[in-house]
Parts: sequence; structure tokens; C-alpha cells
Amino acid sequence: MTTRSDHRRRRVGNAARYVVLGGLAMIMLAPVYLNAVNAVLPIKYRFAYPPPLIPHEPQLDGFRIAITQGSVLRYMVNSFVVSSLITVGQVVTSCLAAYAFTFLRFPGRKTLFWVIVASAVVPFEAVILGNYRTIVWLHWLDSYPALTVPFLASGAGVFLLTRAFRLVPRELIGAAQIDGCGHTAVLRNVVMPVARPTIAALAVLSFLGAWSQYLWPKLVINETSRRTVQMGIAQLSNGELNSFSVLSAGAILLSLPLLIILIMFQRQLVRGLTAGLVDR
Amino acid sequence: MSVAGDDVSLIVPRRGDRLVAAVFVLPALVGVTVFVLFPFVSSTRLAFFRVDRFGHIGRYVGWANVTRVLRLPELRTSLAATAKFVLLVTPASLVLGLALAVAAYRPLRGIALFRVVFSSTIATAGALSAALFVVLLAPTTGAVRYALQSIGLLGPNETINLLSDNRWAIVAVATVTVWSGLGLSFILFSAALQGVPEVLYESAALDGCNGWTMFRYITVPMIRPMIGFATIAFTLNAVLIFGQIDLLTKGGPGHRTDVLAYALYHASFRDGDQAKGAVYSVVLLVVCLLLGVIQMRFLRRRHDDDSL
Repeated sequence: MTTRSDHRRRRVGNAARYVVLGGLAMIMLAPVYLNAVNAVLPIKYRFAYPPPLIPHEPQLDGFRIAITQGSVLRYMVNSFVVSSLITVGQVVTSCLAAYAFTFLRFPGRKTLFWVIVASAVVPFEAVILGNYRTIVWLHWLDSYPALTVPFLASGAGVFLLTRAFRLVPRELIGAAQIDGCGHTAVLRNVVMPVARPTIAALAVLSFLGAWSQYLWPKLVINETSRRTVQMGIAQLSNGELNSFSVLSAGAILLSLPLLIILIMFQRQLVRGLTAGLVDR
Repeated sequence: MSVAGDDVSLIVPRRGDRLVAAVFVLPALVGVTVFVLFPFVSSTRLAFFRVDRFGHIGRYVGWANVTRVLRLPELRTSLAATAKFVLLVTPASLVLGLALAVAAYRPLRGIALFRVVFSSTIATAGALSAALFVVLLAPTTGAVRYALQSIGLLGPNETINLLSDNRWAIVAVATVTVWSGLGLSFILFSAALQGVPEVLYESAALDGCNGWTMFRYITVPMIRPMIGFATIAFTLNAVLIFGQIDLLTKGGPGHRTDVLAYALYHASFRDGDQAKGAVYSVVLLVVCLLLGVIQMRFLRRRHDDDSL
């Protein structure tokens, strides 16, 4: 039974929650907000102190210069293409290998599984020197393959998906086989749909990982037209365009693609990670 | 539990299965062989040779490079900086992310908006977060200077450049990294909290448990697998930190933020000393392996081995 005082208590409780959540949100957004103000600050207020909280005479030169001279749109497209290719590559190669390790009998199964999974514990930075030499040897410097090909397979992906695939009810697979499905069809129509949350989690983590890559692109790419978001922001901060408002505008613009993806897929993301990553 | 089990009996074995297996395993196997295992061998090998500035391999020198690099005081500085960075970043990322997830757990009108805000720093992945803080940390015009003056830690006419301060540079970079990692930490823990069955809280409430008791004895044990995953992910990220360092401090002042990955890069590609870079690569790998082993021991659930 709810009484009036219950209602009031709940309303007070909710108000308190709004205050707490609002405070936390403000702390988290403060850096972005201050940069947004800085991005629209006219050049004559460049040395304004204390830093203004509300933009006086806002103007969009920072954004304009970041787009026209800083080629941030180009960086976004490059990062998007590169990250997507890496994500698709990791999902496909991991699904195929995990299927074979889970459902097929073949000589060397355990050994090969451990060889692939062991590679997951080697951080890319620890083999970056060797990979750089390989890319030089292949004459791949300054090319898209240099940005993508080294990351198309993932030991962690194979490990994650093998754990997920073994939970697929064998009866489903047997039934599909009796219906005449070959292995590719079983993988596509039975195994992948059942393991979808884990595959989604893998895809999210691959994409994020690829998007945040900094050192590797810095080493293998020089050409502006092939630079990614992370290199783009480094270039802006090295002051080639020499203005804080361009740097702020650039950082905000370059954060937008992931933010939009996040807003679009927020719910699926949380659900995918719940079911996919740690539960079994 | 075994990964594949040996119960493949419900799969009808067919002729050609071996060929299919070979075709399915090959892409992943080739990928990790060419871009993980081979470069590991080829870069480790460099440690035992003379290597000139252009990367040409000269004569075999045995353990000379290795002993030379292991004796360098800057290697110890790098290890210390890395350890300090991990200790500053990992616990804070996990605790704050979990706190945000708990704060945004129960439904409320408009909670979706707060959830987007709390996840939003994920969009500033890597060096983007550092770029945002370049402006805030500006010695004379930055918001950080103003904040420090407002609370009286800095005199009215003093300027402050945290990024070139011996003591505070690494704390500043760590703070930036924690902030940018909060989004992912929040998302991971929100996902984990959703997986805790509501009934557990209801029955605990009937037994008169308070919020903290429920958190301690229901939430934490139930989300333990995610705590484990997040600990490993955030620790590794912190060990391998590079982008923020390159944008904010370039390893300075005086090697105070010269973490392993940065020192490795500097030796290999700036100083043109690939042999030194190779030794650093091995050190980095050993550090990651040790951390992996330690964390596995601490976080492992009972009855949970992943042998094939």
C-alpha cells in the first residue's frame, strides 16, 4: 500500500538523485564544454583570463579552419574505413577459426588453438619493431594495407568466440546438418545467430581498439590524405595551424563519430556486453 | 569446462571436414603468425646483433646489447613511471566507473540522457582526450590554473605548467587517461549490473539488508567476472599508454613520464637504436605476461579452467 508520505519520500529521493547525477554529468562534461567555448572564441580573446564560461561574440573560424586546412573530415573517413575493415576482418577470421576449433575434428587442433590464443597475450607494442620492418620490406609504408592487414586476425577474438560457440546446443547443429546444411551454412545460419551477443561485443571492442590506435599509424603513415583521427589530432596539437581554438574545434569534431555511434547503439551495446563478454 | 569438449558426436562427421577445418583455421593462423609470432622472433633477434641507424643488421654480438640496456638507469626510470601510471589509472578508472554505473542503475525519468553523458568520454578515445586537456592545462590561460587559484593552492599571479612539473606531470597525464576511460568503465559495469537478477536484491531487502550490504554481498560477487575483465583491460591499456604521453609530455620532464612504450618508440624510431628497442620490446612483453599471470591468479573463479 502506498501512502502519501511514501510518494513524498520517493519524490525527495528522486530529486536527490537528479542532483547527484547532474553534478556527476557536469564534472564529466566540463572538459568538453570548456573546449567548446574555447573553440568559438574570437582570436582577440585568446589570452582572456579567467577562461570564459560563456562565449562572447562566438564565431566559427576554429571549426572552419579545422575542416578546411586541418582536413578533419578526411581523417574521420579514413579512421572509419580502417576501423570497419579491421572489425569485419577480426569477426570473420575469428568466427571461422572458432567454428573449426569447436565443431570439427582435425589433427593438430589443440596445438593450433593454443598457438593462436597465445598470440593474444603479446601486446602489439612489443612486436611493433618487427612489424615495422615487415611493412618496410613489403614496401607498404604510407598505404591502407599497412593500417589494416596486421590486425585482421585476433587471438583474443578466437578465444572469446570459441568460448561462446561451445555453448551452442549441438542438437541445433545436428538438425541443420540433417536438413542438408554444410559447415558454412551451419556457421552462418545457426552458430552465428546464437552467439550474436558475443560477436557484437567482439566487434565493439575491435572497432574501439582500431579507432584508438596511435603509435602504429604514426609510424607507417606520413601522407596527410591517409592519416587517421588520432594522427590528425596530434597534427593539430603540434600547432601546425597554431591556434587553441582550432585545436579545441578539431578535438570536438574528431570525437563526434564515436559519440554518434554511441548514441545510436547505446542500448544494444550494453545488452551485447552483458550477454557476450563475461556471462555464459 | 573444456573449450571444444571432446563431444563432437552430434556433428555428423563428413568426408572433407579436414579440408574445411584447414580453410577455416588458415586466415586466423596466417594473421597471427605473420603479424605476432614472426615479428616477435624477428624483433627479439635484433637484440643480439649490431643494428645500424637504418635498421640493417650487422654482426652477432651475443648478450652485449641486452646487458648494456638492462644496466641503463633510464630503463629503471621507465619501469617506475609505468608502474606509477598503472597504479594511478587502473584503480581510479574501475572505482569511478563502477560508482557511475551504480548511480545510473535504477530507472528514473531521463536516465537515458545521463547514461549517454556518462558513456560519452569513450568518444575521446586515445589522444583526443589529451588534446582536450592541452587547452585546460595551458599555464597562463588554462581552466586548471584558475581552479587551483580559486581554491587557494596557487597565488593570484602564479602560473602553473603541470606537464613540465617533476612531481605532477604523470598525475596530470593519469588524470586525463582516467577521465577518457570512464566512459568504457561505465559501460562495462552498467552491462554487468544489468546481469544481476533483481530477485536477489528483493529478497535481501526483505531480510533487512541495507544498500551497502547488498552492494558488498550481492553486487560485487555477481559482477566479479566483469571486474576481472575490466581490471585486465584497463591495466594493459595503462601499461601500453602512448598517445596521451606523446601529445602532453613527450616523456618529460626529465624522463618522469617516459613510460615503457614511449621509451621503446624513442629508442627504435627516434634514436635509431633498434637493438635497444628490441630489448625494451622483450621487457614490455615480460611485464605484460607477469601482470597477466598475477591477475589470473587473483581473479580466477574456481572450477573455471579454459583448457581445450
